[in-house]
Amino acid sequence: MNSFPLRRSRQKPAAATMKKLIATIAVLGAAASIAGLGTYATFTSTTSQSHTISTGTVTIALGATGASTNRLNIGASGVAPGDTIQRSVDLINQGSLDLASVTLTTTAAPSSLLDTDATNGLQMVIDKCSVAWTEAGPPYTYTCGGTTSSVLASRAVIGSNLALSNLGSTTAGATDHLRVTLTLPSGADNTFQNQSSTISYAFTGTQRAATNK
Amino acid sequence: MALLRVPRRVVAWAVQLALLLAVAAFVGLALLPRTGWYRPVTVLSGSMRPAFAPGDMVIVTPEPIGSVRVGQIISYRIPVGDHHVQSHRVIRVIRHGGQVAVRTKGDANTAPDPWTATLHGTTAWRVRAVLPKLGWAIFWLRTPLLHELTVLLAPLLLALLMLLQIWRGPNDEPLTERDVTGAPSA
Repeated sequence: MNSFPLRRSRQKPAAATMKKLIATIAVLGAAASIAGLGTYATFTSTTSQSHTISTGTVTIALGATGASTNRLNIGASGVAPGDTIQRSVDLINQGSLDLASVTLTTTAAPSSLLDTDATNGLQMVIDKCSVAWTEAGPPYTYTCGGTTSSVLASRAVIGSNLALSNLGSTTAGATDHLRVTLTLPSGADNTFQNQSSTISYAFTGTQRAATNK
Repeated sequence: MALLRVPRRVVAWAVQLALLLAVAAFVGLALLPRTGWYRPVTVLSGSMRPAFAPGDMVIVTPEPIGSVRVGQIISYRIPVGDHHVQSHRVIRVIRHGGQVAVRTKGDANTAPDPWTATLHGTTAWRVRAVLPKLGWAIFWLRTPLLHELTVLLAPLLLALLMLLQIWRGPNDEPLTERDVTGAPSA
């Protein structure tokens, strides 16, 4: 009988420690799974799809100026109603992530009637060519040796977060050859004389919808 | 046996401490967020470096949408794409009638987010504190294997140990405190 308490007192601390260790693991697991619920369920039913752990980069860039890869820095003067201004620009996805969308925001500074009049002011169209545009000029005009598709339908030149369609540069590493065409409508009257606007183009890429990795 | 006695005690204390921390984590991360006072959120992307990085856990608290200000970091659902929840810094607050909309930007991003988000409801969630790396721990514990080990196997083992103890008979039950924690004297 005397040996029984001795055996107990030797073994019991180890068993208690083991139990506590297992309990620790169980409690941690429960905490993690419930904390997870708090993080995901209450926030969204779709966040299980946005469980990205290693991050990529989102970088879009325009082609170099001084060649047909970017003529957006070239102005136009002496524009009369009915005139068309064509400029080419390459949109390059330099990041490692695909993009959900690319939007264009245009602003004017200095501004004039050319950009504030949505009807008779400058109208903008953006097309893309499957291969690089063939440039002629200046004054620059462009023809496409491949197939053209519409990126932005005709609209007033100033707009924010305009959705661009048919882009290939939403894929990481890809390039789109764009042609921006500005037209001063024939409806522009005498108030449009001697006006000058500087238009800035900001292309913004948004990361693709996240997936499980 | 004499040599083993001290390390065993240290191990017991370490395990005791780990259990306490685990219970604290359970209360802090799983129970108290149910009150709605705050919410722990795991950061998934790096657009807010250096404020917080992927794998960090941020604590968000409710903020009446009327008091959302420029410079605050808020967690909200983006109005485009998959409408995921994102924590970015407010760079502009637009108030129109009772509606509050915000423009946001990630600290590490060069451009503002290309949308204007209308805040719905009466409260927004504002980032108040950052717990570095804790999100990784939660993510790691939620991997399928570890999840099963911790949530299924560990409680099962615990239950088995208890059953064994019961089956050993009533003689084992009255344990004094000295039996559990004290060192054997003989």
